[in-house]
Amino acid sequence: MSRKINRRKFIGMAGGLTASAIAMPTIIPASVLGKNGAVAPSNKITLGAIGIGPRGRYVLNCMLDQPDVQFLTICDVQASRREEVKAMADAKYGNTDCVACNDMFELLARKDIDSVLIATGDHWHALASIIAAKAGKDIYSEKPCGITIGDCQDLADTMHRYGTVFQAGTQRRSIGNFQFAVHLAQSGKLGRLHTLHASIYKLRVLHDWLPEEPLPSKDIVDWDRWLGPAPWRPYNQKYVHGGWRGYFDFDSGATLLDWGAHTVDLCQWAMGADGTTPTTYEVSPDGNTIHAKYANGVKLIMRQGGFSGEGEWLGLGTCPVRFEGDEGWVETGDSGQIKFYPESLAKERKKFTERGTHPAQHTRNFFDCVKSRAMTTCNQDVMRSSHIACHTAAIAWQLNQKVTFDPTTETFVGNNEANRMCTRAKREPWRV
Amino acid sequence: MKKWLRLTIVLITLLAVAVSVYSQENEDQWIEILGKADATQHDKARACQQLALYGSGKCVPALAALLKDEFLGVYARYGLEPIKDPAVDKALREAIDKVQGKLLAGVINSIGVRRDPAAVDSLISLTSDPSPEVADAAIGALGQIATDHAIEKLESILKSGKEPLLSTAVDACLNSADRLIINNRKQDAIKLYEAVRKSNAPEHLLSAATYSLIRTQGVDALSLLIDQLKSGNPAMTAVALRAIREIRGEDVSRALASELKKLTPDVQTLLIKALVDRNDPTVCKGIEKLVKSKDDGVRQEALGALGKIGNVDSVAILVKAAEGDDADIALASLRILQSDGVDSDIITGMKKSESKLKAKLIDILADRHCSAASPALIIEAASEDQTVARAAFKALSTLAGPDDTSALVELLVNLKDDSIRNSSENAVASAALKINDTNKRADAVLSRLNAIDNNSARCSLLRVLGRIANKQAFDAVVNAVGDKDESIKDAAIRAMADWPDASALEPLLNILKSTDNDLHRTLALRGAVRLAGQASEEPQNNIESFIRLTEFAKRPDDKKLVLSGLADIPHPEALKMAVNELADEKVRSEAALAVIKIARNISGHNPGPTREAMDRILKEVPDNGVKEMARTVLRGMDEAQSFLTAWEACGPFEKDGAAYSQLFDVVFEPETNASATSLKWKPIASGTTAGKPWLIDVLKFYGGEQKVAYLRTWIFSPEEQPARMELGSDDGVKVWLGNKMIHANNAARAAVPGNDKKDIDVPKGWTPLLVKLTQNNLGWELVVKICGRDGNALPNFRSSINPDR
Repeated sequence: MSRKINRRKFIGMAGGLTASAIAMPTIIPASVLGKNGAVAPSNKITLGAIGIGPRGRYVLNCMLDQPDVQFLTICDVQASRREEVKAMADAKYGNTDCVACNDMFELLARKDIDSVLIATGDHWHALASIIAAKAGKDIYSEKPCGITIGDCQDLADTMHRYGTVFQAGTQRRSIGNFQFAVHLAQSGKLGRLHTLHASIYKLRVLHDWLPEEPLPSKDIVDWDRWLGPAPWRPYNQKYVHGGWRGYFDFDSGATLLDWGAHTVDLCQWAMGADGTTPTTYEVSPDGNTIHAKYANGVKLIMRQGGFSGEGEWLGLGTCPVRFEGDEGWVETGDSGQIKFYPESLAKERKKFTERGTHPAQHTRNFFDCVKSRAMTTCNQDVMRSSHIACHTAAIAWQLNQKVTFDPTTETFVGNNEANRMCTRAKREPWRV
Repeated sequence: MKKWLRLTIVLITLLAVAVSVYSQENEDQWIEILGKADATQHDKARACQQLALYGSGKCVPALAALLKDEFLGVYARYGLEPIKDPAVDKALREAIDKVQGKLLAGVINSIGVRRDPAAVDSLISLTSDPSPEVADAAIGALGQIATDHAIEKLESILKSGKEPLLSTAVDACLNSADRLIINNRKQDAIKLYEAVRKSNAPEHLLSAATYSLIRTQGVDALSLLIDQLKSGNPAMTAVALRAIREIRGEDVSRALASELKKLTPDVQTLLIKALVDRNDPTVCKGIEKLVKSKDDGVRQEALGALGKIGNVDSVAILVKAAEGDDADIALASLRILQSDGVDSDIITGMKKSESKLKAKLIDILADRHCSAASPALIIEAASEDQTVARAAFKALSTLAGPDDTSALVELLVNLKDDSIRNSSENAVASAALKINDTNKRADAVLSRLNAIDNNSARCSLLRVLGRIANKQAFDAVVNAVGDKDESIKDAAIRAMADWPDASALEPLLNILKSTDNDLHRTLALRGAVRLAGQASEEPQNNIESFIRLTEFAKRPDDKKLVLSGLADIPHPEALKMAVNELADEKVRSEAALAVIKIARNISGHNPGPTREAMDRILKEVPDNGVKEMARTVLRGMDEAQSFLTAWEACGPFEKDGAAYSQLFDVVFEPETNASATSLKWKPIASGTTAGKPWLIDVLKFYGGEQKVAYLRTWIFSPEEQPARMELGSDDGVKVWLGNKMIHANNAARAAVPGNDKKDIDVPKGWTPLLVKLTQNNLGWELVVKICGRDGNALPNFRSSINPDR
């Protein structure tokens, strides 16, 4: 086997196949790197995007900055959004080549697309990821990656079944100050960990329907596709303009996963609990805090607030976490600031400037893994356990019950109602 | 059985029955809503979602009736899917003949989710339904049910099916295989993967089947895995690379490593990455062979890999590579390589290396915190090669131990190259400071100081003594200040000016008195100003130092220097001194800034002088920015009225093993005798937190966790009168007015004004107010306001830490 592998050659080899794509860009040999690190087009990772709102644009913009990534297609069921993204990509590349469509199957059928960014509303994340994996694409999905425990299980199983490179958009695992805090926890410098604190957003669940408004043209907003697997309800433009947040049918775990997908994930990481979850969850009388406990007795406290003046956080920015051991503690948040005890840990402190919302390192890790086929930082298994921990807490909150959860079977123990909340029927014809 | 236990069981039983009845009643209510003609779609949708939680077989007919509803059909399935009752399966099977198109696809999907084997025959028929959605759903459901009969049908579609159903069937087969594995039918799953691999399915699906097959077979699939690696088919190579990370075993690692040399460079590079991820040292030998590859990517990947999974044998390879174009990668690997004997081999490699590489390897030893390298580095520090010597001194400044001090002193006194003098001094000071006995730290330096006549070396030793800064070093430097040689004198004065503690203040004042050298005078003044502020914990004592300093500060620049130090003294006398300088036009701006800084820290205790000082700034200082700062101070004072901002603090107190909540009830001396001479009360500033002029931040003052502090002040009322105390505390708080405890709250909370409110009677005249404040963790704060019971200020009420004022 002496021929040099060229990714576009692979595409040629795969010609004539139906809606398939070869999802393995080769490593980029240094020899093809041109001046200023430019990468030959034939060796770039090609990218499509599905459902791109404000957060999606932020992430996509980071991806466009990667020299070995070429963005080709935007799919969004809202014309204004797909046009905005096309304009952004065209301006970046100085051409008009970016294709805009409103049917993700059109994007996924493109054999020349290796990977997709999925940043739809929460209710679409899991199914879009599963469909994309079946089409042979690698996936970076914004969090929460599934709005039910069942979604998260199906998503992880499918990624394993198809050998897909999957990165959950819980980028704080790739941010320096959070990594440092976790390092302190994992290295034993805080002593034996006994309590982990994860900030969560104010919990709420909306079940009402907004007043029905006339359906717009499908070219403007394709409401049927926007709803996708979510149960039907009459159209109201507020939903598609971000007003879906908080609604049971569209949002995740009473909005607990808005922050919890990040902060609980960091706590899981700090404790080395990837692959498992706490086993008991209990809601405080005021409903603001969920006290969970792992099988080894370590406590995970999910508490609302997070800004200075709201609760007991130290005011280190959004999405704060705090890890406490019997010899010290550390707390950090999106500001990059870190506070800890004892002061002797100060000699290990570094200065961190990247904000917790910034996904540059996280997206880079994804593309590196697309090339190497390694597991990403926040792969499907990491996502599965941290998301399920969040959903379990949210179910305890919604039922206002103390619940016991078996991380091995991923089911509630002796709680029929809680187990029934693990899955939801999908609107026809959608299925996993 | 005890009576209370029987009672408990009865209560629990009643509660369980009540919950059951409650759910049952609601189920009836929701069923009723579903049957109501005038119920809204939303009402029915919500009823379905509630039945999904609490419904039983009883609600199945009502839900099934909605399966035909274009909009609410999904809600009906939403309700039905989680109900564990065979009636649901029956209803869904019956619905197959009642609905069409998307609704039928939805029903089939629910049958798939419930894995109803009784529906297989019907589903098999539906795989040829003209509606693509129905056929797709039927194939998908067969994959989920995964009975032998269902799988048989899927295999037949694999053989003869066309797209898009062929792809759907592949997905269903992969799904079925997962079910077979769960049901301990691994061999049947393997047969199914093989069947998919033989189909005409798209390549990415063939890849998925191959990947699953390898994962399922594990080590038994090694040859298949290697075949994929060598296939030249990138999709299959990708499968292999992914699977390599999942199949464990040293035999697998060795077999893969032995294949490395047979692959193309691009695949070699990828395989090295994958082997590193296996974290199996047995692959090292295979990777080592590739460090001589002619392909840049392969060679560099191999060198990088050795840093992650290499061993002591990798050192020589990496040191050799560090001589060439791949130096950066090789050195990075040497920096992180973890294995017994690595440090020792790097030291050996360093000794044998030429100048440039030697310096880099010395840096690596420093980065590795290799203290065992010190003897070798001391030898290298004597090198005439400046690059090597500098690197060695730099490394020694972190690696050298106390026993190396004498050797380093010898190197320093014999140093010929001034360009590395600073590095050499750092190394000596660093090693000396590691000597446990403080009194012996300067011995090695002092033994040489008076034994040599090389002025450059003596100056170096004086600078080192300034860093060591123990008593012996101090005496030697003071003595050197009087040296006749100007260079020695200069070095000594500089060392004294940079002295880390206030012991140097007097010698610096003496220099100021005696010197006629402008440079020495400035150096001494700068040092003295810095040290005057830290001479004592009592601001009053430091004031006296500043008063002495003003004698030597007659020129504007000198005055500015003194004002910059004075600004950090929170004392009314400092305020007065700074205010006096407002009259000097040449330093007015600096004086005003000092006044404001002092005022911010003492306004709570000294409202009168602070207001007067701010008024003077507003009248005399033309700068609008400074004026606005003064107004801000005044506004803060206005906002803090009725709040008690003048406090003294005493503490912190703690007790082994006692948490804050227990400390709350531990009696410390301030509670029994607050005026005991053994207690040290210190004024504590209010308003140190921006925007909160009334807040007393005890954490900033004392710091720490699980402690107690006491704060006291005196309040004055012209007559006994009713009042209200509004108090915020972080954390627990007890309050005594006079000798009577008037409030106690063993809380853990953030301080917010008015956390607690208490009606009190304020006695006539001056009365002491004592507060005990516990500290859990995080914040440690107090805010106290005393006002009329209507919330207005009390007439002629005031507070002070000095009741005579």
